[in-house]
Amino acid sequence: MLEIKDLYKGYDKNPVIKNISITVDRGEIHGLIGENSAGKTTLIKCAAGIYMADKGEILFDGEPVFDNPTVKEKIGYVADYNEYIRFYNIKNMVKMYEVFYPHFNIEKFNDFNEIFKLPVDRRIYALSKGQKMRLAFMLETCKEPDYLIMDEPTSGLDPVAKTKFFELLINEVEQRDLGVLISSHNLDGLERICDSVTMLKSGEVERQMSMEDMKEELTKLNVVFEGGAGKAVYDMPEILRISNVGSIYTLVVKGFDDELIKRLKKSGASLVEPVDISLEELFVVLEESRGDYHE
Amino acid sequence: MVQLDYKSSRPIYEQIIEQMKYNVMKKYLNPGDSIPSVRKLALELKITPGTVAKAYQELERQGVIETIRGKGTFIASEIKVKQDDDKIDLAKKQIRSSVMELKLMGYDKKKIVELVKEMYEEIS
Repeated sequence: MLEIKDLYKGYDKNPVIKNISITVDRGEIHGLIGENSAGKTTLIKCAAGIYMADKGEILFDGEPVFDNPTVKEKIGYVADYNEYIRFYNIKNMVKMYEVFYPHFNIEKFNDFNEIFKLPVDRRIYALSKGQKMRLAFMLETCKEPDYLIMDEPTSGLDPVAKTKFFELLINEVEQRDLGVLISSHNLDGLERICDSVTMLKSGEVERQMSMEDMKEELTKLNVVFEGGAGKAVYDMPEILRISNVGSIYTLVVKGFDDELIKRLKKSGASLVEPVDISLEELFVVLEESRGDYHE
Repeated sequence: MVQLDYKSSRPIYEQIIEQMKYNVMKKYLNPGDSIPSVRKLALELKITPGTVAKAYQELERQGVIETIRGKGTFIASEIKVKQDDDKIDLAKKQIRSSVMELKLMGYDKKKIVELVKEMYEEIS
């Protein structure tokens, strides 16, 4: 189990992340979401053992990660920008990994490259952003770690590579019980793979729950108001977003229940129908509505 | 194998359960057939793994599918859907209200029975 306990980290005297706790079991995928500069990369770098925590603990199967090669052997880390020895070609890099990591699985690397098709004779400096990202994912996964920590790994990937990336990742999770901590702005992707999710806001945990519960935080409704929705509807505090095409209104609401249906019907709704809301839409509405809505 | 209606008000996991059963009844899926893992189906349908897991747990509880650890998930070798009184009561209520609607619209007994027969044939 990966345990992050009451973690604090700042630069100079400015705290960047505060009081963060996350646990990720093996075989589980945990997503990290939040606006730019919410602290995702700082958190990931602490979890990967690159930054020393100011306060708190990061344990993998009970062992601290910082300055601990035995633990680091069991974890893979795909950074937002992956730097390798510039004048090495990919083949040389792979050889180096084979020397450093006793469990490095070269067959798996070659299998992955049947799919990702990296030019193995090309030097690192001549690789594109997407190629470097693919290389980082392949090298770190073929170490066969118990845990994989990834910072925005789908950025720079084309749609085909993205799909392949997710397929390969869930194979590792299912077959090897790989535990994954992944940050991404690609919320459609995260929604499809994550078991649980942490939402960061200004360096603190704002929400932390299973992806299923997260999806139930808000409800999207199709509502028909023949003759239009009145002011009473626009004033309902639980309606966070409202738009319409003719008499068909789309509402995003908090705390959907029978009582709300009753009130909507009283205000002239002839049909109230809940429909699926995407994580992306949910995230955007939550961000926009912060402060406007009080529980 | 499973086609979701994202615009439907029916919960996604119920849609998965119903379509799996439909595939079994139509013999598109047969005992012992391997079905996608929770994560693979979630990726394919663009939904959360937890939602697929919920549907699979229910299908497993009802004896439609079985999971063999380390091997995967399969259509149960012997499908025996247990008779569940609550489910039967619910079905009766639903049928009753549909029969009433049809009767109000002028359907007679013969036409209603005919319709039920047709539907039964369609899924067998």
